[in-house]
Amino acid sequence: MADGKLLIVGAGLSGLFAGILAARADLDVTIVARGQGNLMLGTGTIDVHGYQGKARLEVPALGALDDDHPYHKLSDYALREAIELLREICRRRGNPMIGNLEKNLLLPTALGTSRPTTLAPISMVAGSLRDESPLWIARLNGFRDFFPQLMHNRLPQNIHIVDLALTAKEFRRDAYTTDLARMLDNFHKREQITNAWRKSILDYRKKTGEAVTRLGLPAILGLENPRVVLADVEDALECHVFEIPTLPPSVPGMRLYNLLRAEFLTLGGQLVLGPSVKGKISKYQRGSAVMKTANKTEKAIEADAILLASGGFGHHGLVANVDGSVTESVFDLPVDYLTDRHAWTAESYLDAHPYAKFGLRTNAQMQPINQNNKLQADNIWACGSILAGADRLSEGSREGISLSTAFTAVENIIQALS
Amino acid sequence: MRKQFTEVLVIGGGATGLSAARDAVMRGFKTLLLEKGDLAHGTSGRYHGLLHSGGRYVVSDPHSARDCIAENRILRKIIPSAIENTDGWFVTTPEDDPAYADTFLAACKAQGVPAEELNVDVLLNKERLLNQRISRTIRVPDAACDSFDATHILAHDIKARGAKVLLRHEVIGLEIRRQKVCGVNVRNLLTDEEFLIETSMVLNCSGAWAGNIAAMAGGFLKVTPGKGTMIAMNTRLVNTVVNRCKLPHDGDILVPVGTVSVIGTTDIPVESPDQYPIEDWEVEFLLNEGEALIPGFKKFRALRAWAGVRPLYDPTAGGKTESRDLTRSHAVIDHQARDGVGGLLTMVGGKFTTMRLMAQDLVDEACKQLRTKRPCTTAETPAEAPGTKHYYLAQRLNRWEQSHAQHTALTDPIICECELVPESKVRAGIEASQSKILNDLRRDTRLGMGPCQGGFCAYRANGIACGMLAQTPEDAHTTLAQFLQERWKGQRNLLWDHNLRQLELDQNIYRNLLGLDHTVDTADIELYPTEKTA
Amino acid sequence: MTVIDISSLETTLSSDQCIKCNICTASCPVAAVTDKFPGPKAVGPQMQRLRQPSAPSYDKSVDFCNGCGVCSLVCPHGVQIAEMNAVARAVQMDRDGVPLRNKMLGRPEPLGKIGTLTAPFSNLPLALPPLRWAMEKTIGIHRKAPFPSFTGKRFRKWFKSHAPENLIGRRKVVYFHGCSTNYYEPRVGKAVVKVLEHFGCKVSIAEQNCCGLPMQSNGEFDAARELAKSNIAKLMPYIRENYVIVGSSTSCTLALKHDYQNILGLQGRDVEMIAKNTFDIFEFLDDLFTEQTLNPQFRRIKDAVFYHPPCQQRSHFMGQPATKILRRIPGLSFEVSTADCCGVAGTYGLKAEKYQISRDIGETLFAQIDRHSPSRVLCDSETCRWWIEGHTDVESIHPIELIADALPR
Repeated sequence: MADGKLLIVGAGLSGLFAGILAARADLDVTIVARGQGNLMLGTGTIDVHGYQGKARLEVPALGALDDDHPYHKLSDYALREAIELLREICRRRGNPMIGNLEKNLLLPTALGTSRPTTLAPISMVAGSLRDESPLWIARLNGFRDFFPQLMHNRLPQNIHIVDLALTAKEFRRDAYTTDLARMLDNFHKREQITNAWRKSILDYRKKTGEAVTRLGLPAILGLENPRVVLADVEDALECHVFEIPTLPPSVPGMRLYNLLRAEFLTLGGQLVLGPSVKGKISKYQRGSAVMKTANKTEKAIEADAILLASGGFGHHGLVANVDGSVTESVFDLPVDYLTDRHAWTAESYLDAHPYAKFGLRTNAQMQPINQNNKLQADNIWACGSILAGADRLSEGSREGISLSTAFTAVENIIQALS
Repeated sequence: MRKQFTEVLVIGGGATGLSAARDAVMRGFKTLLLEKGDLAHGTSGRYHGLLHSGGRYVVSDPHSARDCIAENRILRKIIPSAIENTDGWFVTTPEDDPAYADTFLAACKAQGVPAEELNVDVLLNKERLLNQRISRTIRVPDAACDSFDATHILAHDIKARGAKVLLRHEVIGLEIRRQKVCGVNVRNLLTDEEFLIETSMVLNCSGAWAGNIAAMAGGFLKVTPGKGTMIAMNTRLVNTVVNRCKLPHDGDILVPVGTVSVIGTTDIPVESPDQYPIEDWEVEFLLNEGEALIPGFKKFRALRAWAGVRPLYDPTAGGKTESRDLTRSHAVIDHQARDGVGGLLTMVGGKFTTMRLMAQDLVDEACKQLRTKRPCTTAETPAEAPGTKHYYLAQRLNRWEQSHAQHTALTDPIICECELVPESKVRAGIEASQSKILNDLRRDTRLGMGPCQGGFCAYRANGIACGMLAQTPEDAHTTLAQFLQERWKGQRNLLWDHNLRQLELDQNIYRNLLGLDHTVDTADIELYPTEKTA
Repeated sequence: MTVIDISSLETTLSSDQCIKCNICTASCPVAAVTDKFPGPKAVGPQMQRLRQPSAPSYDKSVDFCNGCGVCSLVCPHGVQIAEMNAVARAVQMDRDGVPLRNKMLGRPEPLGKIGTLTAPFSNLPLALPPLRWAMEKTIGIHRKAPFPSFTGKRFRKWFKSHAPENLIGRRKVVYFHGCSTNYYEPRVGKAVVKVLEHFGCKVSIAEQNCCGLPMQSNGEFDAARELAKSNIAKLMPYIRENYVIVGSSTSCTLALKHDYQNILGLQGRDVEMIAKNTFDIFEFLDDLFTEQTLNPQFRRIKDAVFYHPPCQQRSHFMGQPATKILRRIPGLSFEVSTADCCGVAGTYGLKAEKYQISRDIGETLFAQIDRHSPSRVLCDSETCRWWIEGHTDVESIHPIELIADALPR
């Protein structure tokens, strides 16, 4: 077992997952993050590889990706083990994830397209589009973040809309997904809400003569104990119920964040939210870091190894400057990017944008290197969305990359510190 | 082909056209207005928002300055709720010649533009971001005017007075009999239906596009589109209009309009009013000029860049000219005298602030040709509008807060959170326009104009519109993609720091959470023809 | 007076950084329990764009922000949401007038002076139900809100008569004890002095007054600024003599470190010097042990405690140095709270219309405490300690008191 201090910058999926792996190996781990990461905004599923071009993939086809894709830097077991480990943590912490690397799940989006993914929370799987039976989708009246009429008739499955009351009681402001999730977490409110919904479902059946067999709701089925909420709602409505991710904040993502954080803290890790981290690399190729505290002083962070899980452009791991350059925000490490800003984006908003592949270049040990493949520091590693070579949105690969690169980075960190 | 008749037919639904239609209908003409896009779709909707005091022109173009101050006073009375009384200041930055302020003051006095030099502290204490090395400050009655509000108010007014407004109707030809225009062939761009509108008088108020209409009458009219690029900064960096105290130049004004502040403009002659991409150097130039007024300007969030085309009339047509030197003053072109075709008058030149005066001159000429004497009453009669007081920014916040405090239940969800646009406004907008184009709703309500550029509200508004207009999901998804594509144009030049982060979130919403890119084929997003301009 | 006049531009303009992602909304402990508060994004960066100095708005919902600062902590983009809300509230109060109740709650110091003079009699009214009922009806302080007891002997008085252990300490420390230590909990101050002297510090206490935070959070910016300036003037001579300021109340130290500049908008070299030289006691100890490569030994304490780092502690952006040091005590087992906020947030939970909200926020924490049934709850902030004691019946102490106990005898 290794002995030493590891600093992880970033509290997204890759940062927290790396923190857990390192803490399990008895490293003294501190995560410092400017705030909460991308998990809070995503789908709450684990996407490994869903698309090649515009084609939906039945099975991840990592071999089809470019040579410099992060997946190609990994050992053949990294992805599989990372997925298994995550699945184990999620199950143990009451939020089981379903699926495997052999076949992508196909789940509906709020616009009625089908989304391939590797792992999804149990609360989503009843919506599987591999099942050809019809879908009933709930319209929560007064909820501004979910419009099932936009998915009506979009899929081969027949879709029916069922109107449900937003909540049991009047709510005097706009409800976010998290508000609804918290109400459903509360036993009494849950009972009131599910009773009201049950009545609507019965009325619907009376009116249409259709029995609802599976009902889709926006992803709001509780933050604390989603399994219990799902079971209670299914019992009350007498049908299968599934969640469809909608506009942020993401309830399924927040569940993942909460459980990974709890796992990390239980293993003795330290999580410091708030400060930004700045670092420098000495002439002996050693990186050291400080955090910026509330009074704008810099506090040294003791670390034998530093793992950058600081995210891409969305989360300050990479910063695009007004002059057209791109900076890595902690150490100013060399970044792979195109100097002509016109080439960063596509003409069409919904097309793949080349800037998505900008990021840090690393060797197979997940250590940043420059364009001439020169190692930048002996004690710095990187994982997650800061890595170059992947267009995570277009490929449907964000979480798979985060987990497997975190796994590989920590494996190498442990080896280096042993 | 079905036929319609109107006495006066106005082409163009911008500030000039609407003012002309208002003038005509108030003089008792049966009036119809045609617009190939939406209200304020062209230059009016791409304007920086400055209601001129005339100060900007006192030295270079005294005639315009006198028009501006007169019209400034009138517009405050007739469309008050589109105008925010911000005042304006001419400031001498370290980069400007301090002596110019004296020339400026003297010229203001000569042209009757109220101007008062005050101790610099008065302004600098209020506007803490301004360059502290500003040495002279002169106050003038500039104001901010929201051109979307203004045009919507005018349209509402003329409709209430009995005029007809046809949007998304393009003129495809003029019906000319015996050297006189007696009708206009029109195509409804949404249905492709074509029909003839007979008329006694056509008023061509199509601005930078005026040459196209003139050509249909066989005339050659050189209107030089002068591209002006502007950048909206995310917040109000100033609460008053700030002008550099020097001869008018590019990038020398900063105008607080609604939630943003607009720095403008550049001025570049372009070939076509439909094709004028924004150049990187323009963005860089404007941001640099901003630094003279507000040190650190570049660090603030630049939200959106866009350009409009000024309809600058070049009577000499031909010789090369820098476009700012062309005349700003307007002129009525009588095609009878010029091209031997009657029944058609074209308005060229002019500026937003003088729209009413331009309309008056135009309709005066029309009356002369129609041999009727009817006085203009537009200056004395306020437009019918929901508000009779000047606009102020916190209005929307007030409304929302009061309803939040009064109600025990949510009555009106906020659809666009950045600009506080509630569902009731969205529904009213869709109801009134019946338009499937979300961008029309934006011009009506400011939906999608805040920092997230439609990230959250476009999906919501799309969901509401889909239900109200009984759109199929396929149709609705195309609508949504078109709106996002339109917002995209203004962001692409500003993708650094904040905006790239915003893009990441918005892309996550539309391409990951919703999968919009997998329901519409991006190659097939055919924007409505009139939405194509930059 | 206008928004711009009384705010830090850095704070209000940080709304530029907001991408509307809702992370703050999802994490806000107040929005989680009440629909009266529209959420930090809504009243913060979103409404900030619509606030206008020349035409103040009816801007009431921001008053339901409890100022816990969780939003600013979880925001990945550095939007100073809580700070922005504090400013907006002050603008509101400035226009509508500050209620008497807020004025009282904003002034712990004069109250403390009168209270300690007349203790224990002064404690009586706060214990009498009819009087508390009347207080709720007249000035709006909730009848169940827990208040501390005045002590008979002030901390400052004790300090003057105390014989220092370490006259020639290597490190010179000026202790910012704050009002609560002086009037209600001198035991905390005694523990701080004992620990600092044990580790070789020369401890002084400067003339000082209330940090100003209670006034600031009750909307009286001008008055709070006066207190801030007065503290700066009193502390600067020590800074010039190479003292560092150490405090035991994480709220007071945050005011010195951050709020004076980022909320009250004070500028200049002095306020910056004060900010940079202020340390929380555990931050200071942690740095000291690291710098001097000390490996302090503590006595065995066989106990199971629960540590709740208060919101204001986390807003220091310095991690949890207390846990690092507590871990050195042999025999001690401690659980760290994962609750974001205990609810009271200074004086927020004492107000009649907000008491229930604060209670509901606190449920998460109280349930955790209940689950672990610790002998004591450790917490670095006084108002949180009183609130936790009032709702859990578990004694709550400052963690430094435990450290003082654990020093070798």
